[in-house]
Amino acid sequence: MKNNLKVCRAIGSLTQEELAAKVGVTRQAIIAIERGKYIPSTVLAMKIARVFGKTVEEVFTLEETD
Amino acid sequence: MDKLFLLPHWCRKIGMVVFPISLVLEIACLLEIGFNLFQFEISLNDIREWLGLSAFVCGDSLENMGHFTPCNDLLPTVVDILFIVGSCLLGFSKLSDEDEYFSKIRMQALVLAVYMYAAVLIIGEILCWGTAFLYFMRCCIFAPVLFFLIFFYARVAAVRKGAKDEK
Repeated sequence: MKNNLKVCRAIGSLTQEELAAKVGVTRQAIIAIERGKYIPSTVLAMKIARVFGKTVEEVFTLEETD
Repeated sequence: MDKLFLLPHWCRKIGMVVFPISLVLEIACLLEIGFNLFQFEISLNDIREWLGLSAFVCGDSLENMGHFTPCNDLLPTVVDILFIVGSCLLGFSKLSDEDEYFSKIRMQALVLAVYMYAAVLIIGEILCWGTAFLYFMRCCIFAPVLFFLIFFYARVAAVRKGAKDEK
């Protein structure tokens, strides 16, 4: 699963730390999501999307291999 | 997170004290270092016999055959219990910043530990037999939890270091 979390964060002028605090996870989790090393749970994905005022599909997209 | 039945964070602090002490004592017990220093007046076997547990669990025939030789030393049992409690407290207490990412790391470490233990058992089955195999199994009894602790804390340290570097 791909994501454009880094782009969304840059547009929203949010640091990893700030985003992590808003969605209630650690900065390590945000880093892992941005690097594509960790696929967040549905709840976390929805929380992240809500922070940016977007739908989950706008932030996270399925790859063909998924 | 609650579904993982993790202990509260404060339990980890107790684990951090109990685990290293019990690990050192456990190694000392396995190598029989200072065994005679910890002899107790009341033997554990007396208690077991009094409760009728030995016969119930092991059966009289096995005890008569000498598979369960009487031991007047409480230390190994106490150390084993301390080690089990300490490792559980250390391994299964929430981290100060526990979240779903660390839960995933925890699960991965647990799976890896089981695989590693299976590999060790296979090696033991091939290389050891007879009494040596029993001694080998005695040494390996806590291997899964040890492997888990090593994998989990190594991965957590690596993730935290990576996050620090990115700053």
